[in-house]
Amino acid sequence: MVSSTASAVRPMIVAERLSKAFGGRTVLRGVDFEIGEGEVFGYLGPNGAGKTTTMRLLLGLLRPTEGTARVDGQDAGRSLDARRRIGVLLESNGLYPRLSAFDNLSYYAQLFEVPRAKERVAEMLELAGLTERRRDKVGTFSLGMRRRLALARALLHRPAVLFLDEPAAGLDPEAQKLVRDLIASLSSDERITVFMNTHDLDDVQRICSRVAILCDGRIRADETLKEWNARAEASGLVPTLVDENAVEEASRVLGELPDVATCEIDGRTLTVSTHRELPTASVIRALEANGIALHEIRRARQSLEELYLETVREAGEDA
Amino acid sequence: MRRLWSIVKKEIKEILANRSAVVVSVAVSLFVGAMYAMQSAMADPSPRPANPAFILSTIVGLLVSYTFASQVFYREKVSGTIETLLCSPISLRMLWAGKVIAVALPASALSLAASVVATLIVAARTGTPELASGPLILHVLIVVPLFTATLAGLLGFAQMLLGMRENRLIGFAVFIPLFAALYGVGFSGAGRLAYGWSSLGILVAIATVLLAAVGYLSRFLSRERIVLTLP
Repeated sequence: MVSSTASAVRPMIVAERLSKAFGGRTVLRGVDFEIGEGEVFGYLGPNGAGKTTTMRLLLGLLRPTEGTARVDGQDAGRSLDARRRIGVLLESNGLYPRLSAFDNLSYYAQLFEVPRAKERVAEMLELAGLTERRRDKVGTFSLGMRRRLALARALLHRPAVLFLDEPAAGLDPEAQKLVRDLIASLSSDERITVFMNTHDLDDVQRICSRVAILCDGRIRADETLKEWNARAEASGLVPTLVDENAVEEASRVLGELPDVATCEIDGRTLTVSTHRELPTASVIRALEANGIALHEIRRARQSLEELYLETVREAGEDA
Repeated sequence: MRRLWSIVKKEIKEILANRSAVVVSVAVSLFVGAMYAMQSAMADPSPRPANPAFILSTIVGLLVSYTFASQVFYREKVSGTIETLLCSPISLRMLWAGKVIAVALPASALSLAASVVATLIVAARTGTPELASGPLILHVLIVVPLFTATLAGLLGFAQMLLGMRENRLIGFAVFIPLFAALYGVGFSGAGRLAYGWSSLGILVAIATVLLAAVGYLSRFLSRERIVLTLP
């Protein structure tokens, strides 16, 4: 299921055999990926899978036990220059509650030596919709306002690579849309590469160009959204039989077909999930050859959520 | 250098934004200064152990430095700002240095203010201003700021080494010897103030060596160590 999506475009984030152990506990086991310029990479996985550890390794906050992590060809842990090209929005917004919105952005503008800092700060406050509140202390802001301000801070120095941890968490639907649209436009218009840790499959479907699933420290799936969607389309068939008494036999027959993963029975209907696209004709032929009469057959489309849960379940079984 | 001063400015802003800490520090400095000066002015001048400027600059400088240093490092972790800050293009050494300067400046200013208040009160009460000697003036203007920076530097280094964790035991272990050195070097065996150029030189040397040593060691601080203590 892991595809080698080596991009023709310039690789901006590269993880090679990336592993990390804390004491005797291995959290990340040989993770490999290469994210090209302008890609929006959704990094999914259950809690404790190692998503935050991966992000911290890429940001140079942790040293890998094995392997390498590079951002725009450099190790962010060692190179201050690499860090200039990175913008981050982490789970904790990283804002100073006792300082004003303006002071928060100005501080980072100075640390990143942003040219024409005042104008840029004003521009980003406008983007966050906080111009009116620029002199107010961040401690008085709502969660959504803080998230928007933190995103503005992440974009302040015009980074080439953005690391986002649950970017839309805590936002109302309107603000969520604004954030999603912004990320999509940053990727398409400014060719910013986005690495996004998320649990929100809705976010993934709307803005990611590529999705990887991490389970138990290993990447279990890494595909473009197009490939995911194709797989979702091709992931199942639902034949309904004429005679309910024939379902057990039909289940056995279909279970023997190549690429059939599972076959679930519900009355006289079977739900056949497959590893890859299975032609409807081969199901019809197999049933007819065994004298099983078919009432109708249709394709089942799995949601990304179902595919995600299936991948996580399979990973659990492997472990 | 500009980024270092950005850190200093931001830290001072944050210190000033914590009104309760500022009010307590200023009030304690002035109160201690006034009380000591009143007591000092009432006493017979001959057994007076020390010039109030010496006593107060020492006490106030180190106490305020201790209070502020405990905040400026640990607060980054409590407010959840440290991880984002570590992703910015500044070294841990620069972060440490910026915070140390930001603590030393207000601590030194308050110690100077307390010394001036005490000297003025003594002068007003006795009618005879107790003039400070050259070494004493330099003590207030140079040695105390150096010691406030050294205390903040050692405390900050210890906190960063422990992953932005505050450890009171280490705090006291640093504070007490520094205070003893600063207070003790100026006194003769008879318990009277004998602060001269040699005392000044010894204290400047102690502070400079300590500050330089911890400044050098700060290059070995690890971002991983800090990040691993985050929730």
